[in-house]
This record gives sequence, structure tokens and C-alpha cells, in this order.
Amino acid sequence: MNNLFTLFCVALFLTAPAQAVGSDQVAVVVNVSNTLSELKQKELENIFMGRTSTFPNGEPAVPRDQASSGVKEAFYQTYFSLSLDEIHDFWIREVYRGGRKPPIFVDTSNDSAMKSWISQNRNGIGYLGKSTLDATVKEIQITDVKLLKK
Amino acid sequence: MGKHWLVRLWVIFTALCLNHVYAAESSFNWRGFITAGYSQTLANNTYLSYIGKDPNFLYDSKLGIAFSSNLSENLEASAQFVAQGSSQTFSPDVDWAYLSYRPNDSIMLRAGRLRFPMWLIADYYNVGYSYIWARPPPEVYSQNILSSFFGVLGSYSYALPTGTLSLAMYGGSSPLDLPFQSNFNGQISPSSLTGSFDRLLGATLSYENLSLLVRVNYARTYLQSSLNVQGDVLPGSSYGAYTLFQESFLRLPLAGNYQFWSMGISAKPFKFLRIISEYFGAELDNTPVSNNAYLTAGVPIGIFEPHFTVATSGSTAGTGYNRYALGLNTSVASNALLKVQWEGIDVKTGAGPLLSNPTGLVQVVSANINAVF
Repeated sequence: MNNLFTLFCVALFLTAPAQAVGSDQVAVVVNVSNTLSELKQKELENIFMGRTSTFPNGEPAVPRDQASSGVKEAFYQTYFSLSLDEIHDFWIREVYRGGRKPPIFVDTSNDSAMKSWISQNRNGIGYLGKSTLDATVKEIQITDVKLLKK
Repeated sequence: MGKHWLVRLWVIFTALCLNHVYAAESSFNWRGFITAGYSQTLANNTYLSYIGKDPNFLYDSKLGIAFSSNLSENLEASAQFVAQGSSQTFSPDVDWAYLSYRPNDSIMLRAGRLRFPMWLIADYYNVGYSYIWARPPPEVYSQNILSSFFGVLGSYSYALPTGTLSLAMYGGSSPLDLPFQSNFNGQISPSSLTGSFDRLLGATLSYENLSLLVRVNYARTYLQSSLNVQGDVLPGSSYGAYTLFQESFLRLPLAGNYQFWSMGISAKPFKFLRIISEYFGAELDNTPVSNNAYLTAGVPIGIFEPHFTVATSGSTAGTGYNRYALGLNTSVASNALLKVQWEGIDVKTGAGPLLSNPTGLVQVVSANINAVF
């Protein structure tokens, strides 16, 4: 019985939501050399869901993900109306059917790692907390988002 | 040793596997999945060929490994091997193996041994973690007499403002080797249906966005087969074949034009509701042989998802049944899912292909744990 309780606690811990971050505190960022200043929500979705490998201007787009964080939770909830469990299940199905490839994770799940990677990759696109924005990356605006909010 | 050891092993296993599935970046990747299952009927019946009144730990259990290697920027080689308890031996089998070429984001070409893309979860049928039921609804998915084929598939995707529209067309052939059991002078005798599906041609049209997937499928093939049987076919000894040929292999020709069609929808209209439904029909030489459908509703609540399924199966031979299932899934780790399920099968007429000795409402209970790594 104790073992079952331990297992249940471990399961709860592993599936507990990450620390919440407000949706207005997430910034979508690209390399400072990128000429884009905004993306439509659908264009962002197509990039992060693996449906396209280019920005609307034809330049290659290479998305990066955080493994798990409050910022990641806010990003997917704000722009795709998906929980982390839902996005996890989406990619499991895609990967196991030999379909599209998910964004690669940055080495560690935090904004510093994301900023570092974006600043070194001119085709990169990712997200981080607005409070950690600085001149090493460029924030772009995401338009047409309000239709998604339920 | 004991239960403490098992719990610790599970925790370590979970931690090691966490995020492995889609975190890697290399030219060679692997991934795996496992299902450890239990099932039994609550009376003296045989369900889906193997599940009887004694606890069965084999039928739903399986282990799979998939490999993929990037041969160039647009070319990838992939293969998946599955060892299934339903084979009684866990001998590994090639689930699929193909070369995949993507010249751009819209076009994909595949060649090799491919999954028969007739159903919603055809591509990940063996990955228990990826679907809601303890096992895929047999009304549709145990028609797996043709589950894979050798050939080519090409697909084109077109982005619409609200989602993606895709058309896939394929062609090829597949050998047929279906073992079952017969009763010969009171002795159980191994038998088989062998042959091939030739000139297979099919098309799948699908529309999907983040909360909706709709698929319409059609395929036709020329079936040529020969029957090696002594005595009478045992009810429930090979469900797929029974359904295909409606209880008597000899009643229908062993060669002819065989057609399949199906429609499926998977939708999540609200955060708290998931709907999945499919219809499957088949015809041999313009004679309808089966009509099958199911509807599932799931209610995600945190780490739990209770669900309900109602299914029906009918045939031109006059047999048929309704099936009801209640299940509860719970996430036990980010890559593992525990499922429990009760099913009640109400046979309308005849023995039906699903069960032996049906009397009243036949009940089946199942539980399994599914993980991906």
C-alpha cells in the first residue's frame, strides 16, 4: 500500500504543472539579424508544429523548445490554446507515426539557454520570459491571437 | 527485492526516459514503447481469439522499437519492430520499414513496407500510450487481415487558413498468411488462410488542425487465397478472418475484388471533451461483407480521463453485436499511462466472430500500463 502511495505521489509530482507565467509575459524571439517584425498566429503554429520549415519571407525557420518550464506552458497556452500534456501527446502521435519532427529542446530549460541559442543561430525562433529580454535577441509580435483564447 | 525494488526501478526508468522520445538531435534516432496488459472474460467465453475466463497477460502485451536515420537532408530510412504477446511467442516482427523522401514541406514519398493507412490510428496502432482505449475497437481495428503492404505512398499537404488538407495515394501488394484453429474429429487442428492482396490501390483525404482530425479512406485490391483447413473453423479462433469472411471461409469466393472504405473523426471541441468515431465497411465482389462503427467520448480531468464507447458490428450473414465499454485512464508519469476498462458485448444473432459461446451480455475486463521511451 505504501508503495502504491509512493508511486501515486511520484506520478503527481511528474505531472504537476510548472510554475505559472502570465500569457502577457511571454516573448517570441528571433535572431537580431532576422528582418521579420511580426508573424501571424497561424504562421507561428505552422513553424512550431512542423508543418513548414520556412518563415513567410522564405528564409529557413528553425524552432527551439524548452523542455519544461512555466514560460513554455504560457507559450503553448497563449498561442495554441494547448496544455503541456496536450502538446506532449500531439508529438508522441506524430513521432510514432513517422510524421513531422518536433522542435529540438535547448540544452537546459531556461531563458538563458534559449537566448544564447537564438543569438547564435540566424534562422532560430523561440520564446522566453519578457523579463529576461535583452539586446542579444529580437522580439517579434504575434498577430491574430485573440481568436484562439477560450 | 520486492515491491520497493519495483517502484524504484520504475521511477529510475521514468526519469531516464523522460523527454527522450522527441528531444534528440542526431542523424540516427531510436524510440520504443511497451504495453503490459491483463484481460479476461467473466464467463466461459473466448474473446478476440485468445482472451478467456482465466487471466491473460499476453494478448495485449507488446514491446516495440523504432529506428530512423537521416541519409540526407530530405531522405530518411525508418523501421519499427514489434514483439507481441498475441503471437504467444513474443517473436519480433517488422511492423514497417521504408525510405521516406520529403523534397519540401508539402510533399512526402515513402517506399517499402508501409502500414495500411485505412484508419485514424493505423500508423501507431501498436503504441498503446497514444490512444484512449485499453485496445483499439475491434469492430474497426481487428480487421487487420491487411495491416501493412509493400509498395509506395505519396502525399501532398495544402495549408488552409484553419488547418491542413492532405491527400495520400498509395499502391502495392501484401502477402496473406492467417493462422486459425479448426475442430477436426474433436481435435483442435491448426489451419491457415494464405494468399496475397495484389494490385492494392488506395487514397486517403484528411483535414486536421490542433483540435480536429477528419479522414476519409478508400482502397481496393484483388484477393487471391487458398484455404488449408480440416473440419470446422472454431468460433473466435481468428477474429479478423471471421469478420472478413462472415464465419464461413467457404461461403464466399477465395478470390475476387475486395474493397474497403472508412471514415473517421477525432475532435476535441472543448478542453473537457474528446470525441472519436469511425466507420468501416468492406465489400467482396460487390457483395457487402461487413459494416462496423464505434463512438467514443472521453472527459479529460487533470491526469485522469474517463471514457465511454458504444460500438456496433453487423454482417450480411446475419450476425452482429453491440459492444459497450467504460474505461479510466490515468497518467502515472509523463511517458506512462495506466488504463482500466470494462466491456459488455451483447450478441444479437449467431455466434458472431468476436466470441465463442455467447450467452447474454458477455463481460470482459482489461487493465494495462503503457509507456513510451
